[in-house]
Amino acid sequence: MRSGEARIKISFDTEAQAEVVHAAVLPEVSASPSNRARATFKREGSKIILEVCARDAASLRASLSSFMRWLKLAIQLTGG
Amino acid sequence: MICLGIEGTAEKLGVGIVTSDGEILTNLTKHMPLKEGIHPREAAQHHAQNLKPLLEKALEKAGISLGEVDLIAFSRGPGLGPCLRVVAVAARTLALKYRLPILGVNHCVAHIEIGRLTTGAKDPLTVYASGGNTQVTAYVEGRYRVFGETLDIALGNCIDQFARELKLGAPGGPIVEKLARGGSYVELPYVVKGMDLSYSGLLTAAVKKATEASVADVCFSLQETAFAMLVEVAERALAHTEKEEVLIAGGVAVNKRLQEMLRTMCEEHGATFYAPPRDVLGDNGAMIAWLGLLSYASGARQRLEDTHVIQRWRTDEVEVLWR
Repeated sequence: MRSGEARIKISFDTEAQAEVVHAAVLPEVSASPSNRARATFKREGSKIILEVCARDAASLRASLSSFMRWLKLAIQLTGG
Repeated sequence: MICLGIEGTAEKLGVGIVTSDGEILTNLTKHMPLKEGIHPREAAQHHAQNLKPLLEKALEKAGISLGEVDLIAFSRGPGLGPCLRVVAVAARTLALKYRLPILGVNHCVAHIEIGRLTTGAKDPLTVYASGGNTQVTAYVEGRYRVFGETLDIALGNCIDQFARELKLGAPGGPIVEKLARGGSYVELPYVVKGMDLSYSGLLTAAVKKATEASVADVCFSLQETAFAMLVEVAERALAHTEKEEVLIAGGVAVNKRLQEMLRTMCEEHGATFYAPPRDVLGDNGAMIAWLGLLSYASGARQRLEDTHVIQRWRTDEVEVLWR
């Protein structure tokens, strides 16, 4: 099976919003290590950068879906 | 102090707002429509989509703004991982945005504490039966000790799955309860091992029995057997702990027959039986908010990075600092 990688960059209007969204989601990255997908999740100013490296397409999709769900919710709740 | 509690361990999403005086300002629950069992990822998606509208509705109903909230509490576990993580992200976001303290609390202990708050029970033996948990607990030396519990599936799961197998509809609890009213007893296996219960064999036997007996008879017998097993364990725990009160909790606790059987047992032992109001029996946000307030007042604090969820978190692992 082919491995997969994804890099997603999200730009926010303010650095404060990026900071809240990043800090709210970050514990999920460290709390649940997986040998099927690995993620780095960082903030650079008002941008959040997510990189996922997965050993197969299904794992990549699952990991990205989870991140998108959390990020969308955190963005909604911060008023964006 | 005002606490906003978010519950989301399984298919129900709840937002409750409670004051430190124990006044429930609002307690809203959004049920995920179920045709089959709970798919954890779909339930997580349901919670993520409905969280903001439910939160806004809850605040409106309580007549307050988030700026007036002093504490954010959330169901940290036990529960379905994807659901817990959605709720944790939401709680962290609110805590960060409004610079509020955050506390992740134990779902099962929250059921016990909201029961004590709403009934006035002081030191009860708690019979907690839901779709995911079945346990008999009591407070002894700083913790809610588990005196008996299911060894396999929960009581609510047993009844719901029986209803699904027979295509009676979902959730199965109220349907089976209604059908059972016209039934008579047919024999089913009664499985109590020491102080623990087993429901999976009973489920298989009940489904098989439905091919030879009427649905009403099997519904009646399933309830009688499953509930009698739980009441037996509760009765022995009551005798052992010498508590003078019995509190019922969890979604299955709305069942009138189960309440009746426990009440009868309590009368025979001179114990007082307490059943909380229906809206706080099943999973709800107010119970999370109330346990958050109790924990916070007793000195519990959590750093944001320590608020990861705990999918498997036993009731007796929680140190009860507030009693």
